Amino acid sequence: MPRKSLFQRRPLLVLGIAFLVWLLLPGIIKTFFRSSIIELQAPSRQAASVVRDVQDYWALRTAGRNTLLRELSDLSRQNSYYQLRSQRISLLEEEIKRWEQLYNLPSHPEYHFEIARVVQRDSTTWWQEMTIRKGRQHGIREGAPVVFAGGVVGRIREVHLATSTVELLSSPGLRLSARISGKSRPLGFQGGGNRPFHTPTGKLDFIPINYQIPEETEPLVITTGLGGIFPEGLVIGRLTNLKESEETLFQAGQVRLDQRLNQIREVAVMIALEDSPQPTDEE
Amino acid sequence: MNKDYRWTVLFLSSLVGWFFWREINHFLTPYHLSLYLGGLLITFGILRLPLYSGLIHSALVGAWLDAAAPTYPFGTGILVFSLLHLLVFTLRQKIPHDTSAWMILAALLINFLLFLFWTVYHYPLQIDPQGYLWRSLVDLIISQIAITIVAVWFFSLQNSLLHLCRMPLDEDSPLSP
Repeated sequence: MPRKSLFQRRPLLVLGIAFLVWLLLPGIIKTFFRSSIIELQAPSRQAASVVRDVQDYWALRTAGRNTLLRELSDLSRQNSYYQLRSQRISLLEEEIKRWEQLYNLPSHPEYHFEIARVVQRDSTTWWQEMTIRKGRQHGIREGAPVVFAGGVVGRIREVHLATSTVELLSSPGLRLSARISGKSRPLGFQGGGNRPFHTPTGKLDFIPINYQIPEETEPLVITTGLGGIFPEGLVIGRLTNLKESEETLFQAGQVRLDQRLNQIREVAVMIALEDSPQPTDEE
Repeated sequence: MNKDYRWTVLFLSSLVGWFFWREINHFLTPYHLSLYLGGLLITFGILRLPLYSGLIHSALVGAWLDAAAPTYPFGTGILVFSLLHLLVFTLRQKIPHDTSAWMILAALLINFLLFLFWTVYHYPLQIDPQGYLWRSLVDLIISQIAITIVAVWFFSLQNSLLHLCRMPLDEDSPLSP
């Protein structure tokens, strides 16, 4: 009878030894191994995204001339409207800067918006995130806020060479400082409600016990600017109901997030401009 | 030294399966549903390959899935997949593991165990435990249905690739085309 090696006689022992070796392995080697796998996965994700873009392109090519003309006329109307809004915003920004200089207030940080296409959405039972087609090459940084027309999308969790991973607002790991629109008290927001076929939700903690939701409208929940990642005033969602906490003297509220959160095709990454003008003591 | 390189072919076929799995999940996201097919990817390796060749395949698939997972340390999946490999491998002599019906049953069981492990692992993080369990149940059901539908095709693909690469299984598989 052939003699069996240790590998054949004691597979569990071999696995235990392999696990111990893995635990003792320096972190840098594990990080390198993990990063290499992610960079290997990136082309397949991008390829799938490009194929979807080509499909969209050919779907648009089949649209009739009248449909295109109608779309064009709608777009020109919207362009004129946004040009007027842009002029108005420029005037208001100048006014804000004047007031800041007059009262020697710290200026708001300025951001560059890097538009990125969504390559892959990954909303599993355990985490919610998406991969975008911009990475280190495009100046994306870890922790940068990501927004879309409906408000906050999430924040950059990881940056790779040509792709980045965005942790979505609905992910249980994402916590940020928020407030109810019209109120100044900072509260704690945490994502996490992802029932099937339902709009994603989050939880708002530390709401004062005397606060009640107005009957006419569900109030907006917005960012406070505290914590240094998300600037102030970005929309998170709407406060839909309140529940008294059994352990503390506060209430907890459910925040309904934008239902488009899991259908977004393009997002904007906010990159803080480090060379933005800062007020000096002389001013 | 073990010179059985069939795990390389199986790993490549697992990458094909992983690619389609991710694409399906991409399109399921707007409905707040997702598939988990980790068990399907490693079943053939556990049931049809020798111990160490299959174990390398399971560990590699674990590493591949671990890399993109944000909620647990890199290496957890490798350990879980390897342990499950050893557990099922010890049982495989006791069941008729080379018939397609048994292979599908094994894939369903392995996938269920993996899904259960990750669900329990992530439970403490949840703010809406009831919603989390409801979502987990729905995801598990659709994942198991998906495995029942695609398993025979996937195992045939793996078997065909092994034949194409001139690395057939020791005994001829009933799933060979």
